[in-house]
Amino acid sequence: MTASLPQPLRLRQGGLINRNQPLTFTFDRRVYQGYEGDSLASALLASGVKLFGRSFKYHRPRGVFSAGPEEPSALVEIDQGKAERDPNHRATMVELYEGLETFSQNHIGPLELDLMEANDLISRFLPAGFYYKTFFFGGLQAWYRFYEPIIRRAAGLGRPPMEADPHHYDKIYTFADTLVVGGGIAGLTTALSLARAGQSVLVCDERDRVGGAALWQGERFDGQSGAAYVDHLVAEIEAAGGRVLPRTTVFGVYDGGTYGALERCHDHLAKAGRRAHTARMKYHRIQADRVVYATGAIERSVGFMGNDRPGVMLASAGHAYLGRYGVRVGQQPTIFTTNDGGYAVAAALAATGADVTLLDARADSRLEAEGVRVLRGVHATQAHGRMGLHRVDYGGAQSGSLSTDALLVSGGWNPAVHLTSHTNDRRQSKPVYDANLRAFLPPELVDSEAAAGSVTGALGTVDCLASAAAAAAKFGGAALDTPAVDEAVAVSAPKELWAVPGAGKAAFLDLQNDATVKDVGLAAQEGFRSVEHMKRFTTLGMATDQGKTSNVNGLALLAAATGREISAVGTTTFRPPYTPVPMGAFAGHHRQRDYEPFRYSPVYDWAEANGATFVEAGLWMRPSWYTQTGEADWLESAVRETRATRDQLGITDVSTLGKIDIQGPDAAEFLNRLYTNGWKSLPVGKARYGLMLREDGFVFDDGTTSRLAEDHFYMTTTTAKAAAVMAHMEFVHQSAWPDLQVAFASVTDQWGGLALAGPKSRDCLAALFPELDVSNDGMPFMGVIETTWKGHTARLFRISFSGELAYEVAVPADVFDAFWREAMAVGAQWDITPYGLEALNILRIEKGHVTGGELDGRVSMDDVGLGKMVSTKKDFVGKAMSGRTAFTDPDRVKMIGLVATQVDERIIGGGIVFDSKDGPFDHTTMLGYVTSVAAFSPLKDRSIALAFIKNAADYHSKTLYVVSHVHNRAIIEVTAESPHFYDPKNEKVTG
Amino acid sequence: MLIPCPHCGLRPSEEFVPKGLAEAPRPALGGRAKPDGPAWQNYLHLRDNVADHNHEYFHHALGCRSWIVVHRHTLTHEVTGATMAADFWKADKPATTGTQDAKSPAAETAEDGQ
Amino acid sequence: MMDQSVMRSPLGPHWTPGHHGTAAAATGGDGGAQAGIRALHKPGLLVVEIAALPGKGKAMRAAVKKGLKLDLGDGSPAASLPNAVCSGPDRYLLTGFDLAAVKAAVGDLGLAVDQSSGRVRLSIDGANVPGLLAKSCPLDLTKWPVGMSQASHFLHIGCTWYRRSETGFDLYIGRSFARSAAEWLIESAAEFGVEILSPED
Repeated sequence: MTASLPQPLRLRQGGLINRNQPLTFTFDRRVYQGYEGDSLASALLASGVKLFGRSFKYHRPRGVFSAGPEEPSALVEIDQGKAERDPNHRATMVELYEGLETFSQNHIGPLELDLMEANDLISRFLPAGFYYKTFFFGGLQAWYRFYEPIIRRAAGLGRPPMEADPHHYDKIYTFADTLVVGGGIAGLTTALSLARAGQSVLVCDERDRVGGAALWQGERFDGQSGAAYVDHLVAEIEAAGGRVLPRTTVFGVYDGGTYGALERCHDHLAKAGRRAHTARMKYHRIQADRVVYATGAIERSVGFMGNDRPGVMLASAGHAYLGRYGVRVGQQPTIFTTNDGGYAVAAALAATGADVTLLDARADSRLEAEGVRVLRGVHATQAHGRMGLHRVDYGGAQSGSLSTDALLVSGGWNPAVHLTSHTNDRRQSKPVYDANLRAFLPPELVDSEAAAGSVTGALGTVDCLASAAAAAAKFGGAALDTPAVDEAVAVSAPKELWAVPGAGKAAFLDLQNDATVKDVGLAAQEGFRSVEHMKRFTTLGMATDQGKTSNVNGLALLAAATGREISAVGTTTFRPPYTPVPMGAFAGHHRQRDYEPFRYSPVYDWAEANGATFVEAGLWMRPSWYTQTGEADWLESAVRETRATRDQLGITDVSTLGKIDIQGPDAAEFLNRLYTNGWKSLPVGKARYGLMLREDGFVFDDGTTSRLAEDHFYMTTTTAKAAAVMAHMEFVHQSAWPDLQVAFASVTDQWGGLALAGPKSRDCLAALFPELDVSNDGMPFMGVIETTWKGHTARLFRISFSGELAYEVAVPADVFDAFWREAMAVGAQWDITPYGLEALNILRIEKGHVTGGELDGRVSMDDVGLGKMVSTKKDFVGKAMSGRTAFTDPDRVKMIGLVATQVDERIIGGGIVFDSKDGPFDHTTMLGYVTSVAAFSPLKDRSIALAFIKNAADYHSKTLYVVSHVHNRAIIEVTAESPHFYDPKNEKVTG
Repeated sequence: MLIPCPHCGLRPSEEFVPKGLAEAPRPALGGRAKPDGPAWQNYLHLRDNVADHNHEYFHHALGCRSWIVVHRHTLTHEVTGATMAADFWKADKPATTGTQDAKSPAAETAEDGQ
Repeated sequence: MMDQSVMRSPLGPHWTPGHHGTAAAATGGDGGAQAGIRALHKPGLLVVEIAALPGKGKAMRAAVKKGLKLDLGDGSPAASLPNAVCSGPDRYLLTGFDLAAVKAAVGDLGLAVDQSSGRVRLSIDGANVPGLLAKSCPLDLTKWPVGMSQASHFLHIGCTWYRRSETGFDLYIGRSFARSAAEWLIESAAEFGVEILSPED
């Protein structure tokens, strides 16, 4: 089978593509063909496509500039529907598959006739800083109404997907003795040496095929082709127990030998070829004792006019398209180089029959390339051809103009030092400039790091192999035979040439952000001497490519413009990620419903089947209210539940309360130190309400704790603070009193608990436990009984949160569902009514009980009316600071109750309290704030609230006003009274 | 970041919850200390927070539930050792594993006259 | 006698015996003939948590050795047993013993509390278990000997792990988290195929 659509620039032979497997794909809805093994860029180039997209700012026509991950220009959108529209894929990295649909970006109208191209025509009015300076005219209103919408439409790279990402992502914990970043010859050689020495080695390479430049440079290793030698190395590494992961980009280096890597598992496959239940991408969190940076080097360009024209690309890119994909990027190519590196590609192109001219910026170079016309001491001055290069002018030792269809530029090599300077765990973590190599090299590495290959500044494959041997030796690798390298490609340090003389506007440095040589000069002129400031002013080095092909040229020109050494200017800070990572990969499994685990009560299924609407309370799913037929809204349900509880019998699930089992001879002493009140005198079989403070004297949490035996207590905490109380107890025990003879364990999940509340609760309890005496004498207020239910332990507590006669019963969670259903069946004779959090809230606000709304970390015991709960005979956590002077300030806000004057007005939670309706309603007149609101209290037949106000005692029975600045600013008239609205003498609870 | 839990061994930081510097022991029981006194001020509020090696409390919350004191460099994140909090303030505490220049906090606070 | 008929599973509707996810035959690439994961939850397991009082760890282990015939060695997590896993310093989850027997053994040396409802044990085994753990557990299997317990997390849910064999692990998790954990375990294992075993098997 062969391709039927024309591929005029594809050679008849060569490259690592599978010519027996043609693949059909589209670009801007036009159908093309390529081969298995092609990238989108190579297939489009082979098909004669030069124009790939439009630039960000000036909307200049752009082609493909590189053959790798550094690509700044050829960004495409891959579209598989609204949710799977994925912008900013580098065409050089997109692997071809049958049916791939791609689109160019950043234009309005067809790519060839972009309406935004006017920006290019007026580009001399749009220099760096233009946006910062210009759009202040007309003020802020003009910005919002006029400028911003237009700029937003014009700016941005690509279009985002419009629906939630349907893909699945995985996070993977990966371990290795040694991580090797980069699977070029140097990385693979180091890896093999270490694997042979018995280390577990992981090689990650960002490309779809490992091997790096060996795949296309044409060098031979021990007589084998580069590709064959790479296959041999990979097989040897795997035979020695090592792992090689292609399509895996190590994007960040973190503390303690932690590395972030992104493995792309699906993007190279047609949908039908993707295995079910597997992830689109895997985010590997790699833990490795040692790392070898074999990240290679990225070629750089030179600033000259028109160096962004479609058809101008890096010399290494032209070489890679030829060697790896069998694509000759031009019939009449020109190479412009500042170093020896351009000669190999010139010779390789000439060998295919192309008419090749080489412009060597160095006058003293003696190198020749077979079949290539070499002009020495000359540099390109301008490239011509808006939609595709057709001519290049040159100057220097001689000047002239050449007809050409591809211009391959080499300004030297920048070692890919990014990862080597991600962490802060050395004193010196910034790259170091080497004036001889004219390149930034990695900073001094620590003992657990090594570098191999061209990232070290090694020039040429032989040097790279030597650096690999050195890296392996540093980590105790096994000795390997060095292969003989034939047809070695010459590489040298470049002549210093960042931009040709006279280059200015339209001499581009950053092709993605349209930052030019002139912009850098302008930045220097404006006084931006720091390279970080220059970056922000010009945008050079920003966006998806982060200036991989432009940063060094930019900072070198800044150094020249400000009269400093390049080493004094330095690089901008390299931060993760090295290349873009989809947010989905970081989220992994944990998103949407699976963002966090839910905690389920044992009666969740019962509640769901009986009309409960759930609310997330921390991680718990708790019933908020139970809807009955005919009820219009939550409030109607909650009020019905409240009334039924006050009048007859309510039942609610309290399984979510924190529960801690405390044992040991010092258990009572431990409680004495945790709680403000005393515990040593609590008799066995009784419960007590307790209040905990933080060490700084503020209220921390409350709950009841029961004494089950002399040295055995059962503590409950609020649902919200359960984990915090447990951690607090562990902290004070371990850090302050490690010898105290007490041990404790969380039993929150062991027990299911329900509360029976209301006048009939005693009858219901008696019916559930007929053998027990639960009369007021047999089980007085705060009484505790341990018994059994159907052979399972049951604990009965006479405690009340609702203000009614009430009991809590705890049974093991495994039997709690059955026990709850039995309580419902037994309670039916009193119309037992399950109530949710909303009714529970109304009940406790009517009673004046505090919860998290009140105990918000800013209140003292006195503030919530619990000042009497302090034992003076003992020390406890927070005691010293509970006497701090601020707590006795008369201006301090204290808790009070509020009742709406009007039946139909609702007090708003978070509202601010004032004593005048005339305003101003601001901090100068503010009395306090509302913490909890019952939208409707059956007791008061209207809305009530708990609030904190200054001089609370003075305002009893006075009229106050509540205003919510974040709601509707309505002024709600209220009357202040005691927060204990319901049964202030506690007769119902104790009777 | 990796933290060497004395019970569990080297574990990722995601399993831990930090609590801040361990610079002073909790003042002795007895309730006589005044809230404005130096003992409580030191314990609760005064932290040197130097950009150097520090002793910090960490809770192995998603793990063995131990409170530990980690010796860590706050600039480089270099971790040089950890001790059980239960042992940290004891006079005969074991040496913090791997620590080169850890000052004894017990000795420091003793100089403050507590 | 405890009435077993009133006990309910903590695992929710997703945990149903049978095959879930990719068909076993299709997973050959990762694990060969024995591909996939098998998971088991046995209801009604007796679990007792014990923790020594400060300074009594050694004495408690001696008492447990005498009273329950469990040799917990030096108290390190590596000295755990299949029915006595270390979940923290001088702290263990004992399975298969009733509370009274454990209390009698531990005496006044530490805490003993029933967790039969509070802790759920999920057992997993199969050639692809390492693949599942790589997704869900931050621990390095190459540094985790058989017979060692580790207190850590499963997809950020706190838990205690115990390695029974090369590919066999027990996961002890809080009951209220078990439904989410079971659901996530099945989802994470789907790419390998997972067989939920019936407790009667």
